[in-house]
Amino acid sequence: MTTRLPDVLAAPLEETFGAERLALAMAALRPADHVLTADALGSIKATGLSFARSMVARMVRERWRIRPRDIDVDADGVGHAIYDIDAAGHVMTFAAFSRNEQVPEKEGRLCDTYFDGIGALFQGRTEIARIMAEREQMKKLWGGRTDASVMGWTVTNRSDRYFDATVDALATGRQPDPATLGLGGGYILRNAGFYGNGRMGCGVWRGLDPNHPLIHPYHQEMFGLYLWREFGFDVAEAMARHRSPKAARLDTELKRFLGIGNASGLGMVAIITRWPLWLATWVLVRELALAFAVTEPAPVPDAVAKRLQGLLARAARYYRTVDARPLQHVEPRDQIAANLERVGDWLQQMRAASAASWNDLMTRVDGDFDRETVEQVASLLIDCYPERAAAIDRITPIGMNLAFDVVPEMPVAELRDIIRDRYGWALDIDLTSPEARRYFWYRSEENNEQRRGERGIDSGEPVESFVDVVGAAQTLLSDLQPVDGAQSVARFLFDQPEHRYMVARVQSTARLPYAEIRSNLIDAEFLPVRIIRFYLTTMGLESAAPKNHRWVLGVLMQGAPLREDLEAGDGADWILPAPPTIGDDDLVPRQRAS
Amino acid sequence: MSITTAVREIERLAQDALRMMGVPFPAAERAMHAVTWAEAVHGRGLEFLMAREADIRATAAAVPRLISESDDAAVIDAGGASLLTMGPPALDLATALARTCGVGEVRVTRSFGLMFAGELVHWAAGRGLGCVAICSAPATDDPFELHGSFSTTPGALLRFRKTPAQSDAVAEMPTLILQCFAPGHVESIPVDGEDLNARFDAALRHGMKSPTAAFDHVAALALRIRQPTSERSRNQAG
Repeated sequence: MTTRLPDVLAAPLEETFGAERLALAMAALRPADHVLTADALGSIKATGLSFARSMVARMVRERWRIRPRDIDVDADGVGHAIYDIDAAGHVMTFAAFSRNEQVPEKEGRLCDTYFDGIGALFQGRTEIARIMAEREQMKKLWGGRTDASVMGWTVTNRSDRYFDATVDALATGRQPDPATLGLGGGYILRNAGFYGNGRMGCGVWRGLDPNHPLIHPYHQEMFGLYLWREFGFDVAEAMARHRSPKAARLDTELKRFLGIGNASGLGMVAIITRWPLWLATWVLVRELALAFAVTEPAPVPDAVAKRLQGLLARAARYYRTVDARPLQHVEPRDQIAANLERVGDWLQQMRAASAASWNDLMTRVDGDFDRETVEQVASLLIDCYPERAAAIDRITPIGMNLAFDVVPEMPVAELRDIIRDRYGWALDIDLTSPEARRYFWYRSEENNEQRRGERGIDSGEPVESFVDVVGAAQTLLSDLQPVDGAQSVARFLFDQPEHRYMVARVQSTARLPYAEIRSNLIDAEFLPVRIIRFYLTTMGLESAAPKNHRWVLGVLMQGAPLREDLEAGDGADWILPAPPTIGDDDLVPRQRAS
Repeated sequence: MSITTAVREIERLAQDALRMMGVPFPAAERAMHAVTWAEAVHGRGLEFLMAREADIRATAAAVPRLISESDDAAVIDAGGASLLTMGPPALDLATALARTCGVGEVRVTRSFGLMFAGELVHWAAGRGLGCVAICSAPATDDPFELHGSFSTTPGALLRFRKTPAQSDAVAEMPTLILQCFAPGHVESIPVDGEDLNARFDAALRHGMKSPTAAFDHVAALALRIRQPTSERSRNQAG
């Protein structure tokens, strides 16, 4: 694949790597057909390019300071916590309010009227009067209003079982059993959403100062998750102290092991489809990082090979030890672990012969193993070059914000050629059977979230969300066929304005190597879980556990450095943690190994 | 009564509200930017949606008609539809002409919603074009403050020439004259008036004040995009 990137993307890469090296990597990009099917995207694993990972890396690099100003919660965890944040000289405030009511189900949906925690991330140091005024609005949940001094509101729920087990253990002066916490995925608080970018009148991402520490895409959301993780530890410890003067602090290693839980559903499919430049950019940066790796001259330096050897071992251990929940729609974890161990053996042999070659290794892995194993090895290989990944990541915000617009002067003949060249996969799909067009996405009256309805049964078709890329591409080409090829796209759209969005989509992504999920998303056989996993992995989900074909659970930031680590600049290498070992004498009695 | 709103918030609301007025998704997806720009710059985008809802509904699916066309100019009959849906095809034509001939002029007749012309100039600048939008209309139609410059997008200008109300000449004039200039075909367009891009940027950074009644009206309309769920669909919830 030798597509020439748009200049705004190519220029910063050429500046960093040189035009020749970039061209070498571009030529090694994997084919779009190989990467962009729903099955392939669903197998992709997190890397340093994932938003949670790049967020934490920035915090460590810049030694962000997050200090509690006031933590005031009672024995039930009801109260508030206020944090002062110094992000490389940029001051922010996080204020969180904690509740503890018995609610039958805490799914963390937008329509929920109860959350265990709700917080606001403010610009600058914010005084208590302003915080309390914000609280009055937050009590109204999404009916409340705020302003641009707030970057967003965020909500969380406790994992009742594991949060309570943690508090109970600490109150007895002991630690909760890491293995027990691991059974639940390795977290005590679950993300229930970050509502920013103008919602309720809050600040808009495009309005941030270019030097703002949260200017990178999704870093506001990821920072919100990080803050909830810290908040969870603080509240659990405070509750335990209220219950007993002999309460223990949560073990530091155990804190690091615990991440923040997450559950996401069908709406992710609509989001990814709605913003084609996002998908195109996310896949491009990952594939480019991989292409740079496999074009490294062989043999690769042994220090790098040793790094991959270590990561393979860590990943195998992680798959064997983390999250014991039963899984659907994924390769068995033990199988992936065994595969990674075999890859480790091959690499050992290569190193012994001083012949480690990333191209040879990836070719062999690709030929011998399932897609999840392949993508896990690819991700670990990318993580062997963190500085390079960070350099490539510079184009992420540029790519996501490329102009989404029609090119009005383009001749119709050229547009037809682009569609045939780039959407051949879509044109080949037979949409004539009812099963091929069975579903549509729409906004639900019940919960204001995206749902999947059935054509002919549900009523929302007239206002369906745009997901049917295949149908739109086929209709567009069909309507372009009888038009004079010399006619301008502007003139075509003048007569047929219903194609404006799809034309903009085709033209805006025409020079990007990867665009569009190459599957029929409205087909009866389509499994949304694939795309949900891809989205969450791009965010940084490390351990994805599909609950069913449309709902994915998982954990982010497991192993991430704590706030005290950030200040010290420690904890850059935190991924794929092992459960900490805590002596029996320190464990809560009922959780001791039998 | 006013309420603090945000640019991205108005974009979302406007898109959904326009769809509930019958505007097809591809047009609503583009028109949301015009509504937001007008709200940020003139403070009247939401009020327009509320006040002219019936007119927007009546012309939601209107398709423009090309009256005349030459190498570098075209005249469009908007059929009584607003610039929300007629502005994009007009700018597309003007862009194509300018990129082919250096200069392109498109005249739009029988349209309304002049406050959205400024967003066309802003949009043209994003395409690398200089642009002049000249609007003529009775003072009773869309009586919003419309004069301004675009200092942050060199070569772009919004200049409105108000015609006296009740003038017989008004009915004969196009609603909008849109002139686009390819790079090198215009050096500067001197104009008096406030920098409208600066107003938009300030709204991006600090938010804006929107009339509460208009906001509530449009928000209620937007909420109607949410659809009931069948029992079978409920099983697809996730």
